[in-house]
Amino acid sequence: MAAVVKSFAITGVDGYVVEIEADTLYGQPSTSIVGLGDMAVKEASERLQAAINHEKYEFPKMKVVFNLAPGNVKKSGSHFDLGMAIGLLVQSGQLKVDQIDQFGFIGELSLNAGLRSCTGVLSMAIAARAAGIKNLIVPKGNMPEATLVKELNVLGFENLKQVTDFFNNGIYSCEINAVADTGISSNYKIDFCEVQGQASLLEYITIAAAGGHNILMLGSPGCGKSMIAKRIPTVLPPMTESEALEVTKIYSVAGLLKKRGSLILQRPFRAPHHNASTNSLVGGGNNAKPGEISLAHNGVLFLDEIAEFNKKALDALRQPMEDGKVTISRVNYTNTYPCNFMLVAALNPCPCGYYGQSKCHCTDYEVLKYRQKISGPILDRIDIQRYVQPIEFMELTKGSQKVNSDELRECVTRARKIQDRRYQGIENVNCNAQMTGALIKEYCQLENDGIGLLKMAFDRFEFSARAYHKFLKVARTFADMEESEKIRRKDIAGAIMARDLDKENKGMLVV
Amino acid sequence: MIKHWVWLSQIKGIGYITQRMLVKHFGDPQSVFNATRSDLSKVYGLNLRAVKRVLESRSFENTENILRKSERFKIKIIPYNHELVPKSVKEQPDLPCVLYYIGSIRKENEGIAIIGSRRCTSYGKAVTKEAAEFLAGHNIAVISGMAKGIDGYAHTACIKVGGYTLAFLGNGLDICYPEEHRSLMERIIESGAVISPYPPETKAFPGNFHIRNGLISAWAKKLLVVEAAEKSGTFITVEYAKKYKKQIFAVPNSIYCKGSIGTNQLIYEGAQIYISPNQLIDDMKESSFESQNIIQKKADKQRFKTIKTDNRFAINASLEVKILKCIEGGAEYVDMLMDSLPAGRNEIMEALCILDLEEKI
Repeated sequence: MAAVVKSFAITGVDGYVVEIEADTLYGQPSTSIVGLGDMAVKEASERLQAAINHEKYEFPKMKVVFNLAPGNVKKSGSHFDLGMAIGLLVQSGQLKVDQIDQFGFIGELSLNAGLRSCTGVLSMAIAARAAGIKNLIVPKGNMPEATLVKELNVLGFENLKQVTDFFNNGIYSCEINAVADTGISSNYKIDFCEVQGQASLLEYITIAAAGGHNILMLGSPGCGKSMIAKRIPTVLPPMTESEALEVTKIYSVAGLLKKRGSLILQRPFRAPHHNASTNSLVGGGNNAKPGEISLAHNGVLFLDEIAEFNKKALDALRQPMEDGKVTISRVNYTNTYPCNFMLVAALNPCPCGYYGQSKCHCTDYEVLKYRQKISGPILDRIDIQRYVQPIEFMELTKGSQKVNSDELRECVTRARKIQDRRYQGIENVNCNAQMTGALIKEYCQLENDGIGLLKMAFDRFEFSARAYHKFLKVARTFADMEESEKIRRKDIAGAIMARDLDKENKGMLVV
Repeated sequence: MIKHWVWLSQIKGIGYITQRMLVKHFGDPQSVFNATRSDLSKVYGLNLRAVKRVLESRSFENTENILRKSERFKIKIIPYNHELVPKSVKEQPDLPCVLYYIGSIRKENEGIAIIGSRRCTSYGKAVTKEAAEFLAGHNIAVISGMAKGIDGYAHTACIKVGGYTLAFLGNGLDICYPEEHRSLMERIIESGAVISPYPPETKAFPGNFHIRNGLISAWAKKLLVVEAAEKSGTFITVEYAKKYKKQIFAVPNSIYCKGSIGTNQLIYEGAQIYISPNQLIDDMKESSFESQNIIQKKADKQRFKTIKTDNRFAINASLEVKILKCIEGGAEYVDMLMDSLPAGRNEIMEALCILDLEEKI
C-alpha cells in the first residue's frame, strides 16, 4: 500500500491540499512523478535521491512512483520535495510517523538535504487550517509567515535530518524567533505635510479616500502629481486584519514578500510604468501570477501618465474595477485574484504638458486628441478629476498651513465608519463609490436648492446622465465627511467642482 | 471632357502656366490632346522639349486611375474656367488648371482668408474666433488651410455658428492632414468644401503647400494674418496676396511676442492694421455701420451680465463680490483666495462653484 503524505498547492491566491502518494514497485529502478507537475516538480527526483542518500537513508532500488492527487490539476513549485521524501521513507519502512494525516509538509530540498524556503506558504497554511490539519512542517525561513495563521501548530526545520529526528525521537529544537508584532499599526515614512500648498486638491484627495472614489490628477510636469499620489495610502484607514491577510497572501503567492513572517500592514502602493503589458497589469503569464491590480488590492494603484498606457491594457482594467476581482482563464486552469483598489491616475493636461500657461502652444484639437487616449469607460469610473497647481505658485505660499496625514486619516476613518454602517449587509458595496443606481436613489436625496444647482451645472456643461450619479456619489461623501445625514447645497457644489477635465473640454473650440 | 482636363494637369514637366497657355491656344484640353506635332510647335512659347512631353504622354492610364479614385472618395473635379471658380483664380496664370473638391462650392463663394501660425497663443485664438464668427454672421465665406492652430480655429468657429467655410489642402482629399482634424474635415464638407489642387492619394509634402497658399490668396478677397512668427509659412500666402494685389490685414501684438514678430513686421511694411472685424467687410457690405451698432449692443449686454449680482443663489452675494475682486486683483488659484479671504474653505468653494456656473469667472 502506498504511503500518503499531505502537502499543498496554490491556485490563484488560495491553497488546497495535495495528497502525495508514494509507492515502490518491482521493476527497473526508476523514479516517476505523476499528477501534472511542472518541470520544478519533475526535477524533484534528482534532489530526492541526493538528499536521501546524504542523510544515510537508502533510496529504494525499485520503481518509485509519486502521485500528486488530485491528478487532473496542474501543479507547480518545488515545495513538494519534503512531502515526497517523507512519503518515500515511510513507504520503504525507514521512517515511522504516527498519525501522518495530521501533518502537512512544505519545503524544497537541497542536495545536501537542507530545507529551502518557498513561496505561497501563507496561503498553504490557511488551506491546512481549513482542511483540519493540525501540524504544519515548513522550512525555518517560512516559519514566521506560516505562524501568522492561528490555531495551527507550525514546526520549522532546517534540514531533513531534523525532520526525521523529530519523528524518530520527538526532538524539536527550533527556536521560534519572536514573530514581529502582528497588531495593526502603520508607520509611513512619508506624510502629506511635506506637500507644499495644494490645499484644495488635498481636500479632494481626502474625499476620494473617504468614499473610495477613483481620482485623476491633471497637472504640468513636475508639479507634484506623483509626490501626492505616493502619500494617498497614508490617509486611507488602517487595514483590518482580514484585509492584511488577503494582501499578504497575494504577495506571498507572487513571491514578493520581502519580510517573511510579518503581515503586510501598510496599504500597498503600486505604480506600474506606462509600458506595462496587459498581462502584467491584470495578471497572467505562464503560471498566471497576480498582476499589478491584484498587488494593489486594498491599496492604491497609481497610473502615472495614464494617456501613455497601452489602450488595450487600460481597457482590460474595466471589468476588474467593477467586480473587485479578476479571473484569468487559461486552457488548463482558471485563477481568480482579488483586486479591490483605488485608482489614482495622473495626466498631463496636453501633449506639451503646460496647458493654460503661456508657453503652451497646443491646439484644442491636439489637446482633445491627447485626452481621448483614455477611453470613455475608464474615465467613467473616475469620479474626481482635479488640477494640481503648478510649482511657481507653491513657492509663493510656503507659509500657508499644512495638514498632516494623521489628521486627514481621522476624517477619512470617520467617514468610512458611517459608510460601513450604511452598507452593512449589502453585498459588494463598502463605500460610496460602489453604490448602485437603486442605492443612490435611496441614500442620496437632494433638497430643492441642491437640485437647482445641479440643473444649472448640467445646463452649462452638458454633462451626461451618467455624470449625474457621479455627482451624487461624490456629494454623498462630502456630506459624510461632516457627518451630515442630508446632502446639502455645498456638498453638491463640491461635487460639481470635482470635474475639471469635463468642464475644460466643454470650453474647447472644436467641432 | 473632365478626363482631358485631368490628363492635361498630369503631364509631367509641364507647369501650370504652360497648361493654361495650351488651353488658351487650342480652346479646350481635348484639342490639346488631339493636336499634332505641327499644331503644337506652332504654339508661341512652347519649346521642343515640352512638345515632346505632350506627345509622349498621350495615354489615359494615369488619368483613369485618378478618376476612379475620385469617384470612390466622392471627390468632384472642376477645371479652372468653371463658373464656380472666382474670377481672380481664373485670371492668375500660375495657378492649377484643375481643382478637386468634396462638399459644395456655393455660387457666392467670395470670402475672406484667415491664416496664421500653427502654434498660436490664446490671444490669436480669440481674435480668430471673433473674426470667423463675425464673417459667418455676415454670410461671408471663411477661407483657410485646415492646418493646426489658427486655420483650424477659423474653420471651427465659423462652423459652430453655422457659417460657410472653404478649406484648401496641400494633399489629396482622401487624406486628412493633420490627423486630429478628421472630425473637423467632415464638418467642413457638410457646411462648405475642402478643395485641393492635387489628385487623391497625394501625400502632404512640404512643397505642396506652396500652391495651396497661392490658391487661398487668389480665392480670398482679403487676407487676415492673425499670428505669424519671424519666418513663417504664412509669408508664402502673404507673398502671393501681394502679387495678386489683395488687401492684407495683420493683427498687432506686443513687440516682444515671438509669435507675432511677423505680423508686426507686416504692419510696419504697410499692411492694414487690424483692430475690428468690421474692417473685413467695410466695402463688401453697405451696412457696416449698422452691424457696428449690433456689436456695441452685444458688448453692453455682456458687461451688464458681469455686473449684475442679484441671482437666486445669492445668499452669499457679498462673498462672491469679494472673490470677484480678488480675482481681478490677480488671484489665480483657489488657495490664493483662501489665504486672502476671511471665509472658510467650504464657503469659498461653494461660492466659486456658483460663480463658475453663472459664467462670471
